[in-house]
Amino acid sequence: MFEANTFSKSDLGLTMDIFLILLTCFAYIFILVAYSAKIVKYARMPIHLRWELFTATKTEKKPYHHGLTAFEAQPFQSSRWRLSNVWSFLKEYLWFHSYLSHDKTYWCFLYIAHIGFVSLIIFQAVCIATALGTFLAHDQTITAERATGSLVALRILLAIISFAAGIIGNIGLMVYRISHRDLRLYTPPLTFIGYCISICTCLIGFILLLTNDPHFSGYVLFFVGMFQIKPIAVSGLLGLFIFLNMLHLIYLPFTPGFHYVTRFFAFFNVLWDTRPNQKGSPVEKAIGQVMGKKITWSAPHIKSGQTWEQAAKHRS
Amino acid sequence: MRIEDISKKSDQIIKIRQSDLLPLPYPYNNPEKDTAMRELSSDQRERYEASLDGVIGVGIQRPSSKAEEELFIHKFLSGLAKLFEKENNWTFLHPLYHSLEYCVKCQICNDSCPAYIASGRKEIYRPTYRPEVLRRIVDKYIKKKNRASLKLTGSDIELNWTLIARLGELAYRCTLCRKCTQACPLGIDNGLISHEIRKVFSQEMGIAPKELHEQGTVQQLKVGSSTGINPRALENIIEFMENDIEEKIGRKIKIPVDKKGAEILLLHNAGEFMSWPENTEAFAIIFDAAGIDWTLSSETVGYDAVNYGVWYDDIQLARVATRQAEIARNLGVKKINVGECGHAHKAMIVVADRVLTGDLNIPRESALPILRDIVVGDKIKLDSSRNNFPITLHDPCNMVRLMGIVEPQREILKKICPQFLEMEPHGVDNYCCGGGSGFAIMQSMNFPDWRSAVSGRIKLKQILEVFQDTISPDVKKYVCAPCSNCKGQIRDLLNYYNVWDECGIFYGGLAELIVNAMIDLEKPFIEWEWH
Ligand code: SF4
Ligand code: SF4
Repeated sequence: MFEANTFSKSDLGLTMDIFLILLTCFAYIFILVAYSAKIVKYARMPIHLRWELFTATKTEKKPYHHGLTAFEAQPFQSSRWRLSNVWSFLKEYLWFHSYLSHDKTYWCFLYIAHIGFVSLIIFQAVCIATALGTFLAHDQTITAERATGSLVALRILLAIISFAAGIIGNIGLMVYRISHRDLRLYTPPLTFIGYCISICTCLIGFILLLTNDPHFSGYVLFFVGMFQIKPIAVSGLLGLFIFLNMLHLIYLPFTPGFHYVTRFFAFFNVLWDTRPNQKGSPVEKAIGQVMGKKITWSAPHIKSGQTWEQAAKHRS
Repeated sequence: MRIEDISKKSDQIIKIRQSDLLPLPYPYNNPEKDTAMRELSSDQRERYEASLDGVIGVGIQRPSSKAEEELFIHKFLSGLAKLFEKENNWTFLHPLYHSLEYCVKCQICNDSCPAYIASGRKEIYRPTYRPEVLRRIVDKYIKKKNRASLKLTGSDIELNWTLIARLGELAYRCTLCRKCTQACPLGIDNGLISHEIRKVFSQEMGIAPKELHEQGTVQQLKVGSSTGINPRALENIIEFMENDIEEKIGRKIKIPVDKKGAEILLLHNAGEFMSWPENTEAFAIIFDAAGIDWTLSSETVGYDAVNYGVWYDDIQLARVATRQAEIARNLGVKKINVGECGHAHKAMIVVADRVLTGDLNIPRESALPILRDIVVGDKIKLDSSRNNFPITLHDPCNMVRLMGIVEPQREILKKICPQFLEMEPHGVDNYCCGGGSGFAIMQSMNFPDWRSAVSGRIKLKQILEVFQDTISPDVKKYVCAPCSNCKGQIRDLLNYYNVWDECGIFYGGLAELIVNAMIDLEKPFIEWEWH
């Protein structure tokens, strides 16, 4: 059983533990700031020209639309149409519908890898919640028993699922991407590095679970120490696990992984954005603003420095 | 080939071989019946960039000096930077940013692309190829990422004249059909990337296919129509149409022009006046019979629905749409209805909705629901047995996938065409005719061959497949294409493969079929004469 108490480590060990706490704080803050910045960027995107696409009406079973006018009450705007859009969106979120119908092998590894990733996040959340509970109990006698007492079964279950799925899914994706020319050609080294980090994290997590810390209480205690601003000694293996896990978090904003959020904007704010420009509407107001912006395009048929409105009325 | 090969000097990146192309059904399953694409002359190759695929669509001239070459690169980069500025590109900044940043390169969109599949999956036509090249250029030359970051993100690419010129041509190997966008679970719009590259070339570098720019939007704004028809010529055309109608149906119809306060200003693609006057005549006959209060305009730009700006230049798009709306406003019509022209539908009704403000914001809609109401509502007497021949429907991408107008044309055909057959796939899942985004009117050098042999090949396959049971030329068959550009492309496609003679497959619009079914007509309106 894991024993966590006061420090009796070398200076180097202490430095490493402090480093891990700092890295963990940095990783969480970094991912929060990076993703918030991306959300703000998207939310502040200017209005765009209408560029919708009728993706959610694909199947023959659904009745097709009648015709479009920007002004009449549009059948497209009906709640049924909106619902069918939301449904098609959920299908992609929940079971990656397009991948499933297109390439079952790819889907299989992708889905398993995502199960691993999501479980790892929940696993961390459970560990943090347990640690927070311990910390808030104002009990300074930290024992492994107290730390492992609550939610332990869930924690172990999540750890097993995330590590197993992470290893199978990421190895599968890596092999699949390497063995298919059309995927290999377009996959940057960073993606393979991501797979490797995930696989290593999960492997080490598994080894920890099997040999060193079957309840992952060391990880919980690490967070307790973090909340107390008093580093608690962690084993070398756990240190490596924490390091790789945080590295993975820092890595994420550099990948297209945030499409889970941005695609929401892409579908609802672009591809399904059929809001007409009605008099007095927010759309009209937004158009008024952008039409007043000055252009600096410099082709011979464009007068640089004109506003969009002036350019639109310019004839020659 | 590797992605970065686009900047390596070579004779030609890919060669389009007949044997690589998507096989066609009977009677074109015999390769001898397939038509080989024309080779460029050495003079053409010397003067223009042709090292992408041996095809010239844009016609980018080679630089005559080092300074010219450098200016070309400089202009490209300054235009590319402007694509990411709110002031210069509010029009498409959001989808552009998303499409460049968040594609995970899963390639499931690939099977949707007509050019990629029909070419035998040539790498450069892959829907993700263009965006990947552009992403690398943006990372290295606009975001100026450091060396390590470029290596990690696989963004190292050498920017030179060859790459830019090839990319300019490559932007015109995508029909902007956006079928790949429809397939993408992440909402990535690879068609839009082609559109944005075209914009850099047009709006900053002053380069665009002449059929779209000089003879297209510029001529339309100056003369009145991209066809060159000026208001005087229009008068003659209308007189001709009135006489032709009288000859065909045995009574005179006065085509209303510049009628103040009419309910509808009908905008036709002026190409119809020149190539298929029977379509505009059919509209006049139907509207007259149904008692619709409508008018044409004789004002410059007011009689041509086209707006090629939607394919390559946002400023030109805004200019044409604004002029058309001004004309409608001055006439005091209640609304604008767009005739059988797909891109004009999309440009005027949808895209321009965020350009037209104040009193220019006039209701605009498709003419198809009006035709549907007339036919389905029995406002004119029709006899479906007059259309008793095999008919299939081509879905113009702009009307269908991009606007959701799917049902009116079907309701009409089901009512008046007893042998109506659907192609597969159809509706919002349709394949482009291969002439989308301006291709149908681009006649430069061997480009028309490419759009018949490659981008239109899947459409030909669909047409042949749907008529396989009656493929003999003895049975006359009809491809209904309710879009002027699609009609032009299908005409060229059928011509290229001699399909009229080999299989008896004809093409035409939707309104013609309605008039053909009118019971008070003594002789058939559709004349089955190849043109
Ligand atoms: S555009 Fe979409 S479907 Fe195509 S590769 Fe990118 S993410 Fe995949
Ligand atoms: S828009 Fe159409 S032609 Fe262009 S890449 Fe996508 S599928 Fe291919």
